[in-house]
Amino acid sequence: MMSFLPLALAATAGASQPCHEIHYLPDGTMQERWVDADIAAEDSGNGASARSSSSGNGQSHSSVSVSSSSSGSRASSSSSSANGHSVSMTQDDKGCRIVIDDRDGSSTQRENEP
Amino acid sequence: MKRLILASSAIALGLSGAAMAQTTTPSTTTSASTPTTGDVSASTSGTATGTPNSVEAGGTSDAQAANGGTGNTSGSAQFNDNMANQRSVATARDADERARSMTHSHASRNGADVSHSTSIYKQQGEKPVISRDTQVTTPKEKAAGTTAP
Repeated sequence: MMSFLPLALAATAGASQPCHEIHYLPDGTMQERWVDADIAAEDSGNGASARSSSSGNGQSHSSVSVSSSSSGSRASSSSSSANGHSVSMTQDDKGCRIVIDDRDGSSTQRENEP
Repeated sequence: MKRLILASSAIALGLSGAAMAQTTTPSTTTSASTPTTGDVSASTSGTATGTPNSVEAGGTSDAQAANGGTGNTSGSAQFNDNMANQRSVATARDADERARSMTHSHASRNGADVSHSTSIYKQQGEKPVISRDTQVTTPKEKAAGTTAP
């Protein structure tokens, strides 16, 4: 029996702004809310971080990316496990989005576009 | 008149070809994986691309564990006006096996882009299995780029 815990995930890109959080609950329902990016952010620097863990028969995956150019900056991070539980966060000049998927047996969902 | 039309077509084709050609900045990418024959394994990868106008860095980490083992992955990335950094780590272990993989990538606007990956797998009573992957793209190489048709 594998257990999974998305321990932490954060992404910041420039000035703080409200994040659109989409949370898929284990029963399949969806909750949406706006959260302060300062609360979600793990650090104050421009960047992204993701961390996940698994035990037993399972796998753990994390990915991060940042980019900066004259047209804008972007930071994204995601973590997921074999059972489909995942957390992802993307923030750029167009906005911020957090997607949390706690549905059992669901496919991993990563929404990296705002 | 006919000759003029042909000449005009050739000029148009030439302009079209020039417009389609684009310079691609080479990405600096490395990866490392432990053997997957045991109960635990770990792998990471990273990439960095820096140009005078932009910096970009990213990475992934994967850990796999079976038969009561545990796996952990983490990643972090930062950027500022001149550079971007990313670090990815994956670890997995059980009672008699350990696997660890790390990748660090650095992109610079005007300096070299560097990516370095290392993985280590150790089974109790056996010698460690180590693999390394390093890539450096110098500013000169970045300036040359590659031209795609």
